[in-house]
Amino acid sequence: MKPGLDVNLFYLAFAAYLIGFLVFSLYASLKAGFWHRLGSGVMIAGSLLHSAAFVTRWILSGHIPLSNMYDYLSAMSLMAVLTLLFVYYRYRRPVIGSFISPVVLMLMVAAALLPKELDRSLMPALQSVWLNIHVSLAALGAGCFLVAFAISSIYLLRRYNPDEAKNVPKSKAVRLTIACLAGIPVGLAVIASVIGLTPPSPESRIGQFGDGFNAGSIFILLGIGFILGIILLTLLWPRGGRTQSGFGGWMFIAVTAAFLSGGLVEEGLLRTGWLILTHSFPAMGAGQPVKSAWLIFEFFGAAYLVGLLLSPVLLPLLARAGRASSDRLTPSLDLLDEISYKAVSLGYPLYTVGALFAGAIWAEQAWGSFWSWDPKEVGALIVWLFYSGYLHARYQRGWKGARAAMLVVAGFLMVLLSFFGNYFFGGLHTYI
Amino acid sequence: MRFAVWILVLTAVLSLSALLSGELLPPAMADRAVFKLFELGDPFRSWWFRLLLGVLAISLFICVTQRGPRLVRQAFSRTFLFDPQSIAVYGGYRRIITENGEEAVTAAFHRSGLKVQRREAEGRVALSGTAGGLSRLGPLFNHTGMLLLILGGLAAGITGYSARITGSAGDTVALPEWGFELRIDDFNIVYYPISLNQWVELPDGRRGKVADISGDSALVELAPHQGIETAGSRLPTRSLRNDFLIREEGRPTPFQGNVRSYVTRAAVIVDGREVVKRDITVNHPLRYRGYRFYQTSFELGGIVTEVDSITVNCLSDELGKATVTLAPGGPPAALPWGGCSVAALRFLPDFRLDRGLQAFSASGELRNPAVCLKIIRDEGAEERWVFTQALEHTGGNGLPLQFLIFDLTGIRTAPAGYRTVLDVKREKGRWIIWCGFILMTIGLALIFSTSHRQAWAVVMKGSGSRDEVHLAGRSNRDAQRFQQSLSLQLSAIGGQQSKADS
Repeated sequence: MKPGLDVNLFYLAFAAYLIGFLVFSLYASLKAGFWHRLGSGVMIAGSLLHSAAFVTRWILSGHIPLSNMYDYLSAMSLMAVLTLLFVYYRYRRPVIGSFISPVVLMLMVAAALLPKELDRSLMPALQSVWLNIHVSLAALGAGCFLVAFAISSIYLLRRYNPDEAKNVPKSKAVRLTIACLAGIPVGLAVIASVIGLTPPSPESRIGQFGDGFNAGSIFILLGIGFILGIILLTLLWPRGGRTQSGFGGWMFIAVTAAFLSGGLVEEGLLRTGWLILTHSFPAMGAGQPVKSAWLIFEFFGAAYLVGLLLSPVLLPLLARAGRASSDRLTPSLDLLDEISYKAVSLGYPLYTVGALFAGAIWAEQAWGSFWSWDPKEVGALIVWLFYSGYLHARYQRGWKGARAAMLVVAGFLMVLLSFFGNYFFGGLHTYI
Repeated sequence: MRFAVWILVLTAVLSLSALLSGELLPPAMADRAVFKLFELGDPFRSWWFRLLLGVLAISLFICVTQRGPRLVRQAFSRTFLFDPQSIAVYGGYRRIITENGEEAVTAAFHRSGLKVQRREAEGRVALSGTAGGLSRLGPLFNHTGMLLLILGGLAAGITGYSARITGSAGDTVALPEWGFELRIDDFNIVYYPISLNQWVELPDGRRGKVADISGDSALVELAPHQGIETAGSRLPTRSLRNDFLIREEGRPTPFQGNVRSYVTRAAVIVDGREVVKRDITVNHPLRYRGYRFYQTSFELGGIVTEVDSITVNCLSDELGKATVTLAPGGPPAALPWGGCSVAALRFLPDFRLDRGLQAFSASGELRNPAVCLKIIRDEGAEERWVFTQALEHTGGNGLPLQFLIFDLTGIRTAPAGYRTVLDVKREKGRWIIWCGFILMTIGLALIFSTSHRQAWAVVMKGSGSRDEVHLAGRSNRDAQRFQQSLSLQLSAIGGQQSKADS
């Protein structure tokens, strides 16, 4: 079998998903049944190519291809597509494809940016049958969480009523949003820079020419400010008023989408070398990882800044999506809520058994201890606690609707944090 | 139960905080009182985090003991409802006027996968259909399993034994608490054969990644992150090394990117007997008497001291003193008194005895040199360990000779190769943790793959052959689907049907 075939098949699957996304988008606009049937057909073809890429990589490497970040993201995307197809055929709501396919595509872009070198040399710690069980189940679980995230995003957009929102005076909520999400990060960065209270970050820069502009400290400050801003926004968000319009949920999705898009574009900039973070971001293959949690704020800050720059384009698109989602083709809120819950119900046991149990058993075999409080383990535990809380809240306290949807969206952000956490925190999982 | 949501969220938030605090707090903080009070240097083992886990365990215990009996009752008990009003409160309620109502409803329940039982009282027949009752036990299994995981972790933490040992080939390691010795027979690092994308070292010391292999030659891409510079020409693969040393924190360290396996060949020795012998590799520990030996790491073994020759003084009260020079492993030399010769069998630079009274070298350095002499006489031969500073001997049969090392010549040191590093573990709570895993897995399967479906009907005999039937059903999971399935089966009954809302 020719080396590189697996990557070619991956790119073909990527192209198929891209076409599938475009076709589903056409369906959302034109409402003709032909388009969603075509879209699902293309997604099926893409999943077959993707599966072929997985099998080919397995054969070429001689071991299950789940030993690095690219493999994991690719498997997670495949699982998300399979769940998309399941939801499509089970619930007969084609418009769901229009919302899940872009999220899948985003994941594929992130996977495509990662190094894809085929390594036959599986390191000793990974030579265990538990690799297959632990990573594959965790990827399947995360794929389900991804679908739940996408469905919950539709829920929040669907709930958004722009007409009602127009009638609400533009007062406290909008001013509060701008103050928290723009004022605090930018203000913190400016004030701290002026008084010289800047965290050390000597090697970050923007621009390819010369030394460029050293922005590492600014990124860290922006990242800290962004997180503070989100916490404050959540605490100070006005009760009542805009809740009927669904504006709060819409704003939540807008911030999430801007941040994720910002992170994705940031990865692209890092890949091209136009943006260099402290000691370079290891996923780009540009150096050895630096184990410092400060870097997470640097990454957040850069993602926030790019997201802020993208927001003039993103916000009108999301507003349009909000209007479109009110269309008769969009599933009812109850159905969206149920599908999201089903996706979490499918992902939760897979993630629990795969990421936690199989991981703990493997750790006992390899390192002699079921649990070492390694950053990756703690990350998985946080995700598990979060979704456990969601399920308890839903079952025992009847949390449904917008609050549950926001929890699911936030839960997926935890999954991403856990996924990329070892870049910033180091630990026993730094080899992946 | 409401408390459970908050304790879960609180545990998640504090776990994240603990993770960040360990990374973000500057070392200078370590001397602060608040740092010490909250044990922020190791937050996951701090009192407050243990307290949090304790509260979580208590919450789980209360949940299990309070809800457990009810869940068991729900799983195994069956209720019969004779009053239509009692049935009407459940989902999918409908009233049917049909012939042979009891048979028709029983058949419909059966087709829905329910096991049906009947009771009769006051001219009414109550039918109770149920399936998947074990689903109710899911949360019970799950919470009990989680509780066991916490308790098992606690037990393992309290009773846990952990040690780290290092050794080179030939070393015997024994800790007092073991009751046995571990002899390290060999330690090897096994490398993958040179293949694509592997880091290799060129004959001139430069390093790069293999970009292409064809036949016996390979194209090596040097410094691949800095452009497309290559080695210029293809090199024979046999000239490339993938077991080179790199400098890490100023020290030479073997490059581990190409390692296939670390293998320690070890034997367990009890009272001088070899009882277990096997290879210890990553993911394949050696287990003996509850102790587990894990291949954890390795280190460069420092040096080993070797000598060319050993001069030994031989003292006899009757015959006087003689001196012989011996080469380790060399031929015997005759003593001047006739009928007696000695040979140096083995030299150890740092002599120690293990529990089985077997000699071994505790290090490669010249700390306690000893030589094992073989004394050959007409009556027979004996072996004896001889030292530099003490006139003593080990074993022997009363031979009136004493030996002392007088001089060592040709002393040289050589790299000792790698020393294996093994972690030794033993905990008493492991079985509790395993029970926790099993219970939680069963619980998850019950919760998320099964559902407790129940349906009730009361059949009231009407005038003539037509019966009045009131029925409803519920499911603790996927209720909508169950209602649809039940409705479909009931539609087949025919007759005059009316729903609750009509």
